[in-house]
Amino acid sequence: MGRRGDLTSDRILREGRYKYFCRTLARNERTAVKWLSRTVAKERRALEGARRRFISKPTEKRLHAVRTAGRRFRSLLEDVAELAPSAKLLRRVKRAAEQTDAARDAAIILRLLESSVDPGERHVAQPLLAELSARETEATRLAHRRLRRTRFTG
Amino acid sequence: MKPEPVLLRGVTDSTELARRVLHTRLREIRHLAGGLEQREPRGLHAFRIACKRFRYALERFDGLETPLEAPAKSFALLQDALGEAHDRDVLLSILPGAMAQTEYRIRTEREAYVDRAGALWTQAQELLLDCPLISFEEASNHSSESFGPDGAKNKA
Repeated sequence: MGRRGDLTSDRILREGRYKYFCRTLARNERTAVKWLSRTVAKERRALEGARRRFISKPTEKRLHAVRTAGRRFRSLLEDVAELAPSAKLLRRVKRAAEQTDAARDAAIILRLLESSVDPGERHVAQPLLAELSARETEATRLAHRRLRRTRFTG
Repeated sequence: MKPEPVLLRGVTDSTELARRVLHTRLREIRHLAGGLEQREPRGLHAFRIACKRFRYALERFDGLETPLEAPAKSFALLQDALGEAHDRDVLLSILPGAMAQTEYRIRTEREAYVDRAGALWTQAQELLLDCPLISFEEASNHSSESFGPDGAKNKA
C-alpha cells in the first residue's frame, strides 16, 4: 500500500505533531509581531509627546528630549526595517533630527567653551561666544517652527 | 554612517528578534573599535554612533528574556565618555588660533575621556560575556588589544 493511504497511528501522531508545531510557530510569530507593534507604537508616542512639550515651551532640556526620543525611535525602525518597513516615517524622523542638530550643537559647544575658556583668553573667545549664542537662539527658533508642522502620530 | 541592515528572515519570536539585532549591532561596534584605538575624531565618532545603537537595542530588549540592564548601563557610561570627547573635538575644530591655553586644556580633557572610553569598552565587553542573549562566539571574539583601568593600551 502507498504512503498516501497509509493512515497508521504513527503517521497520525506525526501529523498531529506537525500541526502542533505549525500552531506554535504561528503563535510565536504573532507574539513577535505583537511585541514589535506595541514597541513601535510606544516609542512613536514618546517622540510625539516630546515634540509637543517642546512646541509648548521650547527649552534646551525639551529639545534634548525630542532628540533622544527621535534617536531611539530611529534606531528601532532601522533595526526592524526588514520585518516592519516604514521608510516614510523613518525619513520624517531623520528630517526632524536634522532640523534640531544646529540648535543642540550650538548649545553644547557654547556651554563647553564657557566652562573651559582660560581667564586670560576670554577676550579672544568673546566673538565666538557671542556667535554661538546667536546661533543657538536662531536655530532653536527655526527648530520650533519646523517641528510645529511635523507629526509623528495620527 | 548607515547602520548595517539586520537580517530578520525566519524570525519566529521576540527573543530571536532581540538576538539578531544585538548580534548585528555588536558586530558593527567590533568592526569600528579600531577607531577607539586610533583616537582620531572620525573613527571615534563612528564608534560612538555604533555604541549608541547597541545601547538603545540593549535597553529596548531588557527584560524580554534576560536582564540586559548591566550591559546597557555600561554602554551608557561608555557613550558618555565618547560624547564628551566628541564635543571637545567639535570645539577644537572652531577654536580661534590665539587660544593656546584653552586649547591645551580642552585637548588634555579630550585625551582623558578617550582613555576612560578605552577602559569602559574593556569592561563592557567583559559584561557581555555573561549575557546569554549574546552568544559566547560573539562575545569571546575580543579584539587583540585591550585597555587597562587607567585607559592605557595593553598588549595581547
